[in-house]
Amino acid sequence: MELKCPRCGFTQADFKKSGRLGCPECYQTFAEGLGGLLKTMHKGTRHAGKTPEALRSSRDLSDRMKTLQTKLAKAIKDENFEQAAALRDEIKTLNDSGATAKPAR
Amino acid sequence: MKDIHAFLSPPAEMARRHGPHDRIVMSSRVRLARNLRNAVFPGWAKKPERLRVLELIRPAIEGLPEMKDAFSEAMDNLGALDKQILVERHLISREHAAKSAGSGLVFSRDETFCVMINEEDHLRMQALRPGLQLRQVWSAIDHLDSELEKKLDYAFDNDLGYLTACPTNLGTAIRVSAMLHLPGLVLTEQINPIIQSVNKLGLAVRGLYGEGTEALGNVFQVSNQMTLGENETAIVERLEKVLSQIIEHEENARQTLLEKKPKMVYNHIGRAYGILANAHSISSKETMNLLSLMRLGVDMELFPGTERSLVDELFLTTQPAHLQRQISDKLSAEERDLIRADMLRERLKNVSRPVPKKGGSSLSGAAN
Repeated sequence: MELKCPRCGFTQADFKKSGRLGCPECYQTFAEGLGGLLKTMHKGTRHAGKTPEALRSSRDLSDRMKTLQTKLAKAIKDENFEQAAALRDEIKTLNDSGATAKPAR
Repeated sequence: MKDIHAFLSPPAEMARRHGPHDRIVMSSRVRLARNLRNAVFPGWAKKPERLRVLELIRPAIEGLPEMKDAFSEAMDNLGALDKQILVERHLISREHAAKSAGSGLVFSRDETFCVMINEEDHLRMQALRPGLQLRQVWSAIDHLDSELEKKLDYAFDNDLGYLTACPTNLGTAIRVSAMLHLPGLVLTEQINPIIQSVNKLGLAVRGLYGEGTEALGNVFQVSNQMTLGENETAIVERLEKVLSQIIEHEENARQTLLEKKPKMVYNHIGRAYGILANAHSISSKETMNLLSLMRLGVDMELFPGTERSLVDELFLTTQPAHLQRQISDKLSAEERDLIRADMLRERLKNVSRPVPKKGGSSLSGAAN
């Protein structure tokens, strides 16, 4: 079955035809196919610029979370369980505190 | 509704606005694309949704301090001629000129800020200033955008940044550009290699009216292409660096022409003046190309007593919509060519013919 955006009804074929997307949510719907395309179009695949003020704290939070998770994965791989446990606690605290300011996705 | 012609500043006044390096850099611009989180992009939205978005966005923009006494209108209330005039002034894109119900336009009293509503994205906002002022236009539009984000719920994603209808604009959704007058590089045939090396740096070079247009009058637009993975300041600074190199190349080319091929330059400029000041029928395209040479002549001080602003004013007023606007009857292209020539002869009547510079001996030129 052809991929179709649940929000606006835009299809993969529509994208192929126009090179444009239907709505902001299409970026999630077509995320898989877009990844490779973005790599060829842009300098990177992660936004590095301005963030709306209201989302800034949640973006910091999600950046911090990503760093912690990377560290945790490395600690587990290195079998450094003491550090892994500490990181797990830190992630849990961050998660609880961010419950009210969760990132958009 | 405000009369757009009473609102727009007279071309003579526009042409007298100055900025740094405006011999070569005609204007600097930064454009940001923004969309609303809960709305379909304009190209896919049906008319009722586009109207809903327009009614949501328009008052938000009108309420900004920068937009005090602004011109604000729905695109279906503007005639084809008015839209074309706005294109010739670089206030709207050609794509936006084709829009009608469900699209809109707000621009500030001094024409520095302009926001297109429901072009390809819900919002396309630009700051435009004469000369080389990239940092200033970026900080001006950044400020306007920060005010607007308090009123509108933007579509933004932590990983992908500002979400745009076209993935090529994703991330910062910024386009930084400068309009350059490069007759020296064209006459010395260096323009193509320069365009190629600029392209290699990930920057685009386009014609007078942007994407897919010709470089009429030796005017080129240089802009960034990539928007994701780099911040706005880095993009502005990279463009600034490349522009300063292009400016240097253009200055050198002009110097080289005067030193090595003065007869060739004087011939081009003299003929351009001759035709502009004496033709009885002339197309818009030929006019722009010849005015470009005359502008070069003014820069080279071959027209003592003539200001560059006269050439810049004619560059605008001889374009089809601006010309048509001065005449009440609807003209055909052929009739416009006659009126254009009449206007040029009249305006250049007191401009004396170009005088080759002393020192550049004509004999040494002939020997080349």
